[in-house]
Amino acid sequence: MITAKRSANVKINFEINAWKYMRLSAILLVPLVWIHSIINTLVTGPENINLGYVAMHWANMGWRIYDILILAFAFSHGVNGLRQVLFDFTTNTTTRSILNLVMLVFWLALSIVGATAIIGGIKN
Amino acid sequence: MINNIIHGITGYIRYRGGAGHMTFLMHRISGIGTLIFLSMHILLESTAHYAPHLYNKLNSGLRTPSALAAEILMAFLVIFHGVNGYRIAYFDLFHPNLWAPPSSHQAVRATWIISLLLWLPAFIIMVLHGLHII
Repeated sequence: MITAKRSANVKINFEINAWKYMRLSAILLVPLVWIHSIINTLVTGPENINLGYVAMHWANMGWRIYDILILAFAFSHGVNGLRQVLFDFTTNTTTRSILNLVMLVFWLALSIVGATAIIGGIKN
Repeated sequence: MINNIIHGITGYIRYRGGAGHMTFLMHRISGIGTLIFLSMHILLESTAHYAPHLYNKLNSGLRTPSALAAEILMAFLVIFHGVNGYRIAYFDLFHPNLWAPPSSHQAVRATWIISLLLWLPAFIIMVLHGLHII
């Protein structure tokens, strides 16, 4: 039986941090996303979700912070995941740089739209 | 470019690890599915702030049987991605030696069973909501 610890000294770079981030954010995301889905999909039900429900939900600062947290962690986890999947299909460094830029712009654009909506809330 | 894409796809198909291979592919498929859903979800919910008159219209427009079917499928994808993600995170961060068989094979089996067991009640409740029973 192999008992030797397999380890190597490697330089910490962006990809190693991204690898760790996927696993650490996963630990946080399961409770965040599942509680969000249980409350809105199973307890409330999609047929009962309307502008009034969102206004009531966002009247509570705690839920706004909760929604911002999901947006930040889930969307960054998702976009980085897509980046990793796309990297399976190209080893070309130029293509990978372009993909990185496209992913960054996509991530920033939707994060800004979502975050400003949550912060702005429902206008009367 | 095209060769790389073909290489990537054939790699996905040819890499044969049995249940582990299925789970690897399913993690990617469920991840991409969830990201597509999340992107649309962000844009749709953002209309509550940016175009409130559109919000109720878009929401009630999504109460169709095909949308319900898509949401029930999404529920499985999210549950599977979470359970499988926990398996990966736990192994990688705390017990990398578990990656060796047979523990890795047992964990993959457990992932599918736990995911299906968690999905079943969600499936039933979502159908009941869809039929306005609850």
